[in-house]
Amino acid sequence: MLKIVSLTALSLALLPALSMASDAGTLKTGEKLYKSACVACHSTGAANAPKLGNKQAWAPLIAKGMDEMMNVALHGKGAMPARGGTKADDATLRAAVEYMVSRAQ
Amino acid sequence: MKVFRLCMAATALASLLAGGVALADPADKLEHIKPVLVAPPHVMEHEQATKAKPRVVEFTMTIEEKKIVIDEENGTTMQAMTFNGSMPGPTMVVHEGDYVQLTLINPATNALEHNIDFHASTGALGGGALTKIKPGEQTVLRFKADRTGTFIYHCAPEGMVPWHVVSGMSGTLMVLPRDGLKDQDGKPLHYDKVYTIGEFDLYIPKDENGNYKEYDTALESYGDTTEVMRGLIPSHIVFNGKKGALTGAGALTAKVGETVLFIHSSANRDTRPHLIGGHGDYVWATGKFINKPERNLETWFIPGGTAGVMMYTFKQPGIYAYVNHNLIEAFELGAAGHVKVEGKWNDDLMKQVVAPSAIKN
Ligand SMILES: [Cu+2]
Repeated sequence: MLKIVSLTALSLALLPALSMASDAGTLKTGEKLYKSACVACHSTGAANAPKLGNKQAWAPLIAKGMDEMMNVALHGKGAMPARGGTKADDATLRAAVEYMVSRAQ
Repeated sequence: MKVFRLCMAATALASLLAGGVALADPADKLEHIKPVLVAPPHVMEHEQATKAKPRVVEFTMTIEEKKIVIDEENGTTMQAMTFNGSMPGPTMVVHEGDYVQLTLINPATNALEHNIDFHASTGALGGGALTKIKPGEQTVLRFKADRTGTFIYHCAPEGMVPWHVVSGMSGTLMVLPRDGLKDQDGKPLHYDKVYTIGEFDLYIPKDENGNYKEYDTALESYGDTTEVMRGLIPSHIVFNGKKGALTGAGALTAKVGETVLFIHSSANRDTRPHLIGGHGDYVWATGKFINKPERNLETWFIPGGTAGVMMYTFKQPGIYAYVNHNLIEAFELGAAGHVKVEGKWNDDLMKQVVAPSAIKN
């Protein structure tokens, strides 16, 4: 993660990036939600969603930090529905965001 | 890669059209009418042969995402997506040379972006590239219905087309010749009533114990559902949204002597309709009226992505079954309905000479 951040917006993103560190259990939970719901748009880039694993697409989002990414996940943005169209709780949503971030590094 | 290229083309096209100058449009000068759409299996009131000049026929459809019961006996549910709340969406009827003008509404209560692709239309991925609407938006599309026949319309959002289609988003547009339907010799054909049947192959996931899963939202069902879709084996195949929708109180009705037009759409998967105890008197299995109808068919074949038409004049009373004649798909998976026909029995056509009884030596 640090590698890509340092390439894009080191000074801006260092603090939020550090707060995104996540353990294996969280990533597993996040992956599960990703694979049931988020995958609908984020695997194909449907409706301009940043694709899973596309570092270029994710770098500016990661640079904005976890709070901003969670803001989008919770309230939706553009074609992205609030909570990604799920009834998942905040912690699970956050885990899914962390999983997607982990795949963009 | 292919999908990506398609997206790029659609985007370029959409911006080209949006930037176009508003020239005087011939369609603007035509008469506009607003017929009322009705829920399937019924079809909006319409003329067959018409003396009217070409006009702009305005429709409005509202997209509704909702959980529905697809098998009442077992309580199996699906996170459905629909045009106007029904599966299939309502059947629209216009005449050759008319313009279809659709207002498509995606209420803020929905979660997903949708659009519409009319197989009857020409250009912009069937209108799909010009009708992308997020929840809380609406759009208006106009196209010229310059080919006769029954045509599928369906939702087709980039990246998740099949899921929206198998979740319920399809229906039929029927474009009638201005002088009505004709037989193989060009003689006029007239129907007394018309029914529309939408066949849906459904892919409901099961849990570890083999029970069908239930989901809180459509998106939560996505991952498991696409997994089942990739197996290409539907869990259910239903007419009009659920097992038994066209049986019992929902059965179609007719009278002896009455001519019925059966419109049958299947947006994703092949089917082979058959009327048990009857026939297809005149059949446009691929649905296009410029072609001569086939006659006396026992079973006809509708390729996935097509709406076909069958016309039949009932000669005997009783309960008929209208089925997909892969009988497993009909009687195990759900692709069967009934037609309840009143009238007088004809002994000449069929007679029970000896009722079932013990074998005589
Ligand atoms: Cu849709």
